[in-house]
Amino acid sequence: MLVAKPILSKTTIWNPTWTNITMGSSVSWGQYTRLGRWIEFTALLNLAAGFSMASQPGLTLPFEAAFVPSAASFEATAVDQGTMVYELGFTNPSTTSAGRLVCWTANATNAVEAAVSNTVPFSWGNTDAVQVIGHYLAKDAV
Amino acid sequence: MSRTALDPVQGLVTWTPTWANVTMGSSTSTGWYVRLAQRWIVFEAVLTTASGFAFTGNPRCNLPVPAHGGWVIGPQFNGKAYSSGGTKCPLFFDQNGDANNAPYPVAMNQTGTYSVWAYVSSTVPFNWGTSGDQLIVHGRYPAASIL
Repeated sequence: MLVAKPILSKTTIWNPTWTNITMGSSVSWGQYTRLGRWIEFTALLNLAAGFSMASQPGLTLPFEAAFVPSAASFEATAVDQGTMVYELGFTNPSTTSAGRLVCWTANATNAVEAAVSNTVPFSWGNTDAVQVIGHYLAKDAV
Repeated sequence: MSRTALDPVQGLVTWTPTWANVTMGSSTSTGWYVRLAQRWIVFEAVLTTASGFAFTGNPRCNLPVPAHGGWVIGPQFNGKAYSSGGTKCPLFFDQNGDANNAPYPVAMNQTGTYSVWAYVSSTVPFNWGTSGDQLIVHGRYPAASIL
């Protein structure tokens, strides 16, 4: 009898690690799905009392990548609560384990990257949020 | 084309994208794709400029395998333009490509009230040079056929 081999997939809730951000009471949440070595992930950071943001905040990937993923593998938004949602991205990562957030500046004819900081693209405050999605090939099998 | 076995359901395939409206000169074209669950393709194509490079029009790359249904659409793609001088620009893609080609990449022109498309060309989103500038195309779509 032939038995169809199931696709190896698993979705897991994880706690993303944010770099250059002091969390305070902020809440970090995410989930990732593994399709073999392929990773699809989401990460959410809801800022709250006690947080602080240094320049070039970023995110540690749920698993080390097989090779340095391009910035085009990630998309992000910044939510200025009650006011505006900004399109963000990742700058081209230099490592297989993390990336840094960037926004698009309007100080040029065509949009160009600008590093996110505690005042870019707005002055971050409690209840603001960051959302990131991405996909890449993991270095190691499950 | 080479294939590296990764697990029972997918493999990483390296592939050499072809670029329309580009004089390559000594430029390099590299790419990879994965096939998920037999049907879903995620790929990346990278053009790195070198001596003799020129855009002869609006560039775009082909797809690593034909797309299902005859069309792919802009929101399935995401891109970057990097100059060797450090300028980094997000790229989006116009309304549709076809079964064998990605849509045309566009920068976001910000001279009006709202951002609008500006097709990538020899001067958009910057003056492209012949020493290490990069055009990156990243996309996902269903393949026309399974393996």
